[in-house]
Amino acid sequence: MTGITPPVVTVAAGSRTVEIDTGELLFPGLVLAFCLFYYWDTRALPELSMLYAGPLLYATIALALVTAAVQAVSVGGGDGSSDERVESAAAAFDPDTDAGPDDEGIFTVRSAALLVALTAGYVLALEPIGFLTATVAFLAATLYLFGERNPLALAGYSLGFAVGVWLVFVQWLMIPL
Amino acid sequence: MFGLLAPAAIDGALGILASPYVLFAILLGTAVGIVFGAIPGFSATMTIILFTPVTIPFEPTTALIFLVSAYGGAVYGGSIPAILINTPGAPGSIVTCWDGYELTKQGRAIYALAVSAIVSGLAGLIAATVLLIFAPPISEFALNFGNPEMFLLAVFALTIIPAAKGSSLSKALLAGAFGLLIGTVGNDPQLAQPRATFGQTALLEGVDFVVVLIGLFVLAEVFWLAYRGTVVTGDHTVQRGVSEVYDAARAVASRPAAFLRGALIGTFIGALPGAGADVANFVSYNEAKRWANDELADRFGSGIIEGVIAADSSNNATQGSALIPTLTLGIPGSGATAALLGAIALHGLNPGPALFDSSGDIVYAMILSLFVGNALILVYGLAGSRYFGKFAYIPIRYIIPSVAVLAVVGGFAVRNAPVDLYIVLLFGLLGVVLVVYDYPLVSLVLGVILGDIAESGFVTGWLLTGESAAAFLFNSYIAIGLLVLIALSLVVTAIKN
Repeated sequence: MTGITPPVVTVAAGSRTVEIDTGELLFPGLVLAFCLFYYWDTRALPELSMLYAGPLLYATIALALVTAAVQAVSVGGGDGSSDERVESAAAAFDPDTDAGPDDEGIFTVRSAALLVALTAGYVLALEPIGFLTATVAFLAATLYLFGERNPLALAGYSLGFAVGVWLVFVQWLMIPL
Repeated sequence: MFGLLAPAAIDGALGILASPYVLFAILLGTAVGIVFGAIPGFSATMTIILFTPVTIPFEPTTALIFLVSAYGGAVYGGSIPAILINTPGAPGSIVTCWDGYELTKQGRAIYALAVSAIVSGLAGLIAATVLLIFAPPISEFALNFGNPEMFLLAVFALTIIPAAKGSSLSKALLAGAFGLLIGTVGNDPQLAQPRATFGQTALLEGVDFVVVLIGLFVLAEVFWLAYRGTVVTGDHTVQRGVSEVYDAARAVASRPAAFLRGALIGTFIGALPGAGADVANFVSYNEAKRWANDELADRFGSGIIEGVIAADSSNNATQGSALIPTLTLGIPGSGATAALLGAIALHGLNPGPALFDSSGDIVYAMILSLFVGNALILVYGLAGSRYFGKFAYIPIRYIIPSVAVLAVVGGFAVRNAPVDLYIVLLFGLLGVVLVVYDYPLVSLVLGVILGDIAESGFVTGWLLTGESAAAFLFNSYIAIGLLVLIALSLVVTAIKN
């Protein structure tokens, strides 16, 4: 499998070891961060505004802590042999790739990460450089990333698809992109 | 019989359906659904979500009927690439590959595609009938729900998902609670004080859940596709001719029990929250195998038509029944129905128990359009699966960038707010994390969707019942019933884990 697996950190405390699957902390951690912001942002609001959101916020924090504790942390035996270790969900996760030999090397974590970066760049670039330019550049770059090498196909598809979307959304639906 | 239940609404609905625009919306929607469903990696959910912004300029009835038709078409369309190139167009068609692709290798693709079209269309008709029978009484009952009941209903919807899906209780509840919290972003309903809006004016109205859906179900799916890739194998010789279609009709007609079993399993599973076509086709296939005699059971997976019947009779049947909780209670059980509910809200209708009451004619028109749509699936499927099949061969490298662009543009188009672009991106990333660590996406989306109902139900109910927990929770027999159901689903989840 070509995936990346976040590390499992082992902390020894006396004779016992505590194993923490850092990947499992990811979502609870993100939720906690959002909760902290939410708490900070709403701390001055009147009680009536938070009648529902307040208890919900505390319940969410509690669930995040419980999930982090239950899913990520496991206490190993006295000698540190980790037969009780939590199976890392990321490690166990096998998307059952049926990619043939030609596809190997194209569909990887690296290309997925690059796609994320390109998409983020595309979103950021939309306003400063305009919809058409940004879209054509994004389409061409992504097509290239996933293995299209024919310059005619690259240019033609990027331009055609971008203009098509522009016609539908900007000209027809009047979306001020 | 139906006329007695809601005569005015049915009459109105039939009037709506008689309009040429609406009929055209069904014709076009079903075709669009089949085409996009046939593109590998393009699910019914994605099809509905990406077409929702395009329907904004149309009047609600035409727009929603178009989307419902596209939904049905896309579920059927997902089986086309499963049969032709061993790549399910959507998770609901994974099982179709097992025998369908084997048949293609034997040169009998047209036969398999025709059987798929026949059982999909017929099963869809059965499920639409079930919807038409059960939805009105349920919606009538749901009108008795007061504020505390609405809040408890939202809690129940969130607790039943891990029970139905068998996922971790704490993960499902955390995803649901986080969704509810996202749902509170924006002005509070009492004093209009901004909560966690990051200083964005657009967020004062809250986070639009169509935008969240685009992130979680479309952009995250594209990121995921970039890693997973797909397989496209070479051509096979295909037997053509009318005899293949004739054989297909005979194959289904001679196995009515197999077909009915699949359709009923699909109808039942579709009505459960959190379980849709993806679960139904596995269950149906396993049941078909279990009921078969030993000799036949061994041949499942080697290219027998029973396998295709089992898979495709179940997945299309989930649509009609999945609409029962969606239209009557405002609780979508799957990504596709959540997307449809998003479209309903976007077109200014109020999803929830009052939907039938306030917009009965539109809702009935949607339900009745399913009958036309599923009959069309049969016609399109038999006449044109060969042409629709061409879409199965679109290389994934073209699908990834195109869908990414549509996700970004669609996210913006929902309400023309630049901040929504970042929300789509954020939820796209979050969606990948959730899938990898096995959090149910539906829980999060459901939380966001139910946020408003839950908040107003809780706050109004709390103030009306004199701010006492006992009076709130035991407000009525319905409330007590919901409490029992919540407890039951928690117990079921605990046992399953």
